[in-house]
Amino acid sequence: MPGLNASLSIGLSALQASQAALNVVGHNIANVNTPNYSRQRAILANNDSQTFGTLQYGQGVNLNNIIGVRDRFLEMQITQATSRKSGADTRYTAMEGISPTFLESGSDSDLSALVGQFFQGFQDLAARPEDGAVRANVIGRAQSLTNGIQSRWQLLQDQRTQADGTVRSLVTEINTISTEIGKLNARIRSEPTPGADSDARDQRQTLANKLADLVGVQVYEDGNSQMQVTLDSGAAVLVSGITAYKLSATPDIALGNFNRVEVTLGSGATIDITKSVKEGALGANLDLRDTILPGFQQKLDQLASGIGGQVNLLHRAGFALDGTTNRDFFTGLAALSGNGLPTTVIGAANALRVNATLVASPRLIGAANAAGAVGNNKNALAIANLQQSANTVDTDNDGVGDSGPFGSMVSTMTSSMGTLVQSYKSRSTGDENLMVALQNQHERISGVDLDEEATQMMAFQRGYQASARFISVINQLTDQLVNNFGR
Amino acid sequence: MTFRTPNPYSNTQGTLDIQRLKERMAILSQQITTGKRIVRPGDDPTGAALIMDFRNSISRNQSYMNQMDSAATFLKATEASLTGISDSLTRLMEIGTQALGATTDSARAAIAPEVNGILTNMLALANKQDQGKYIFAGTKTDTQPFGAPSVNPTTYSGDSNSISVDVSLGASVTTNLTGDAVFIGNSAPNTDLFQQVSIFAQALGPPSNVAQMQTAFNNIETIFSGIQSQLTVVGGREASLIQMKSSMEEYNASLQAIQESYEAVDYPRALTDYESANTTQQAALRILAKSNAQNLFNFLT
Repeated sequence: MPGLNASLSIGLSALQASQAALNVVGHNIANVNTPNYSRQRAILANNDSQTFGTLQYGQGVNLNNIIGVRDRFLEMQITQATSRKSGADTRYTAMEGISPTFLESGSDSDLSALVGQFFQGFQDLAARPEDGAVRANVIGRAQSLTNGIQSRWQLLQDQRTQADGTVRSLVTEINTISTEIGKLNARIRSEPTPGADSDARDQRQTLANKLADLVGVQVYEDGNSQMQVTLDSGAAVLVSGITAYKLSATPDIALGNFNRVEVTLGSGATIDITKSVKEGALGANLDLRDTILPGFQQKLDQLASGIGGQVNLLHRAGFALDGTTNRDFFTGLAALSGNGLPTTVIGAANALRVNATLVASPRLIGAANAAGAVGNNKNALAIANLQQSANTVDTDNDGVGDSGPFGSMVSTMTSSMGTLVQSYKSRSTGDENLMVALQNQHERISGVDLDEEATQMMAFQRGYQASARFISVINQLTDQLVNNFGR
Repeated sequence: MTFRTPNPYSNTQGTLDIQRLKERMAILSQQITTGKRIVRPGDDPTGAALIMDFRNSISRNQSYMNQMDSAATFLKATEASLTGISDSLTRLMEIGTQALGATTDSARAAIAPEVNGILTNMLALANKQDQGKYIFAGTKTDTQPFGAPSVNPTTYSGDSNSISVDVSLGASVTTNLTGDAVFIGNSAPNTDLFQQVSIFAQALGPPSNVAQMQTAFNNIETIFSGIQSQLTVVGGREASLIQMKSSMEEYNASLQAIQESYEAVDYPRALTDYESANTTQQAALRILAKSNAQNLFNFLT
């Protein structure tokens, strides 16, 4: 039979275990509001028994392990949903920001109004071709139109430049985080018992979510519990074991001097991933910079080139008040010398200008279709009617008009921009709903419940108090034995 | 089984719900203050494009109406000149008949100054400008069309081209009558108004040439009726312009009404929605505050 000292050590083991368990409860309560914290549980286990004769005597309790309560699959899903949501959010914010410049509610200065006013200027000119003021007005409206197209093109370009700047800073941030994940992988790999380092896992999960916000990634754990991070397209690995592969951004002529994004492999070789990041802020910014915004710029180019080319074609046939002819109304287009039609639509929006000769002398606008008749308005009418003509816009850059009229092109552009905004918004809302559902699920499993902790605290407190009482009883027995026995 | 519902769980969900409510309220309040249902293209892409198309049509129609106004102004000036000439010719017919009925050369010659006066007046009317444009010069609106009258054919410096403006898609109205067609009449002999009046004045004498007077008088009568019919043409064009304008105004008004129906906010509905969102928000805030107050720690001593 075990002696009194053995009983004392049972009491001691209980005091230590209860205190350690209370420590875990305290840690949980302290982290009740910490994002991504997984509640921890003290795993108590009874000690092996000792054999005395035919009896097995228990030897108290010990704290076997402290484990985090978590669902790895759920955490992976949250990481991926974070990437998607961040991608949709970034695209939505950018497009929502620029969309009002294409539809200015109740304003006369949106693009479609400017196109309309330009052609109505020619309509007015047809009514009074002799009138200098009307001619000056035609020039003024044409300048408003070219400025309007150009300023919208520039706005898109500014957004692209901004997206490119964001790409640069994202690359730096991503490298910092992936390095940190590598370091935490090293800590987790060397944990004494599997699953022991719950706090390192929580930190790593926080970083993974942060990384997913910046760049579209997929994560999974390998056999050593190390987090492997790959791009969402699978094109490259960002973190493998304790090694983080760095991203770099290099200006590239082929991308219009915007940055090319590359991953440097262990061997020092690089993989170009500019087109292989789908989601996250990085993927969205690359998409905005290289695909979405240039698409709208191209539409502006088509519009500018269509108006410029078609007006020039007719204007060359027109006669000025002084009887001269064969002048361009617009300059800046790469145009055929024969008929003034553009050879390419590329760059038209930014280059289109009203012919400076006409600006200086509006008398030279060719409103007539014959020389020497100042009241002749035939050419002005023809130009005014271009507004309604089909096949005035070249959308496939083959030099032949295949779309139009101009007005419907602008409204199509506006509606496609609106549709994009709407679809990114609904995607973002959907991803947010999914995220919150997953996070709720995560909270249910891993979240700290204060009521639960309070109950645990009371239980361990009572356990501690009872053990202390037990020790004091054994102490009294020892006292009895040592000091009062045989008196 | 029961689900664990830790505190942060209810907080995340509650915060998201309240954020959504606030976003909804912000959108509604923007709609209410601007009076517009669509503020950005993303609010309703199809609606936004439609509004744009309607706005374009309306402003194009407005421009067509401006064309009609300017055509009407020009036609009015033409009508005024022709009416003046027609009045002069009526008087000329009157005194011409008198002259033909007179028995002495001196009586006939006495009429000559008035005839010459009428001729000068008619020439001035035919050379009249409206807002700096010669009305009867064809498209050469900066050139005085008629030279000084004489017994020889009148020199005409204008051209025979008509001027038209567009009054709707594919429809145009001719705004001018060319001077050669109205006053010289290239198609038939002896239809030159100013020449014939000059001949008549010269034939008054003294000495008078009654036969020549009679021929010229007959020619002038024919020209007069031609001018009368031109006046009818002008009047007809003006009437059709007025009609076209009023129908286009109606059309534009209905376009505007349709555009409004796409663009304008439905106030009763927006205000009701706002109220209900507001109520929900109040309730959500109350619940969030309440659920966070519930805790076992409150009961531990």
